[in-house]
Amino acid sequence: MTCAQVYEHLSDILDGAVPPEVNLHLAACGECATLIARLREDRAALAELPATAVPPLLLSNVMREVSKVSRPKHAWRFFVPRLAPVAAALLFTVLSYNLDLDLRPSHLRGEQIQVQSAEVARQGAAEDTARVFSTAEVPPNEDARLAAAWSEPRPWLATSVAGGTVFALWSTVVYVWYKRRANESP
Amino acid sequence: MRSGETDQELVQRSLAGDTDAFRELVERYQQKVFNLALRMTNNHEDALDIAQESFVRVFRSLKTFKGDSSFSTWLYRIVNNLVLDELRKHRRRPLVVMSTDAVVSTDEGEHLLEFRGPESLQPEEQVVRAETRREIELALRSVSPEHRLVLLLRDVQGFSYEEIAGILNVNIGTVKSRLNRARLSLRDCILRREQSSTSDVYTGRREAGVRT
Repeated sequence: MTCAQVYEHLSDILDGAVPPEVNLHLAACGECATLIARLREDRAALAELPATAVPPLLLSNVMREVSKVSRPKHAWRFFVPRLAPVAAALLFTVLSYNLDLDLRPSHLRGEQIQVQSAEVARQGAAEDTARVFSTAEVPPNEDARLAAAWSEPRPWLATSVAGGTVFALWSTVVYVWYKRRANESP
Repeated sequence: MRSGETDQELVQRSLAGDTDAFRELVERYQQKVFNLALRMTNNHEDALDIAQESFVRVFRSLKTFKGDSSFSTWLYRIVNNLVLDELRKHRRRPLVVMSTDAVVSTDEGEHLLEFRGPESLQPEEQVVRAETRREIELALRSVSPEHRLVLLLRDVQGFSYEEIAGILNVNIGTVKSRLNRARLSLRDCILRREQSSTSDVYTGRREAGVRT
């Protein structure tokens, strides 16, 4: 083994992976033996280099940036489940109130119409009574009733404003809730 | 390290939006990352910026972390890139920058801050060892960044050759030969410092070291 070969395997030699021929060379070559001894000292000194304390600023800065990055996702997760059902419920209320929506199955609706028309019949002409009760079909005056119902002024504006106000108030509550929670866990 | 959770488990929890898990990852690595950046740049502010940016970048790209390399390898790859960017940016700076916070000049000479010597040693021995460390530390600053980085990763931070190969994206053979040259280069710097500070007889050790 030559000195040049020793230089090429310094790391292995320092790690203790020393083939016999290296030991032979080191025993014979004072320069290489000294070099290896010095390199061992260097390595030991490097391993003992004192570490500089990390400024606490590092962790707080990183976590602040991280919370900025992750906030949109969290905000979305926070607001949607709290606002969407309320918005849907209010929208449904306003629409059903104004459109006179009746979402019950048709056979149940038929019964009510029967009852309603029976009331109309009682209050109205007595001669129709027998016919109304003799058939399950929609009585002819139902058309008139619907027409009358549709011609009534619909409270679109009032109910929309009311629904919107309730939603705005709820949004404010949720926003304050979110802000408080965000301050609690920075 | 407070909990027994692996890095991988903490990464998974961080991905699920658990910032406490990520905080723990930062706590695990901040000391090493900051010190590596500090010894590479020799500048406290730059080191702080690099360490901070590394962790933020890691967090931003958590989703792309596949786990085919270890978390530390991945983190150090980013640190390494940022360090190289920083060194490129400041190429015209003087090569040796005295870090104001690592070495303090007093009437009695230069002292390292936060020197933590083993308590069992006699004060005299501590002084000798502190002197050796100071010499190594100053010599380390004269070594090229490429060589300094492998020395820091291997001898100071204790990474395996495989891990260093992963961080530097080179093969293990390259890591070993780069380390060999780095060790000789460091030795050369130490000898040069010794020669410039004392008028000792030329020991011949320098001839043993191959110029790189």
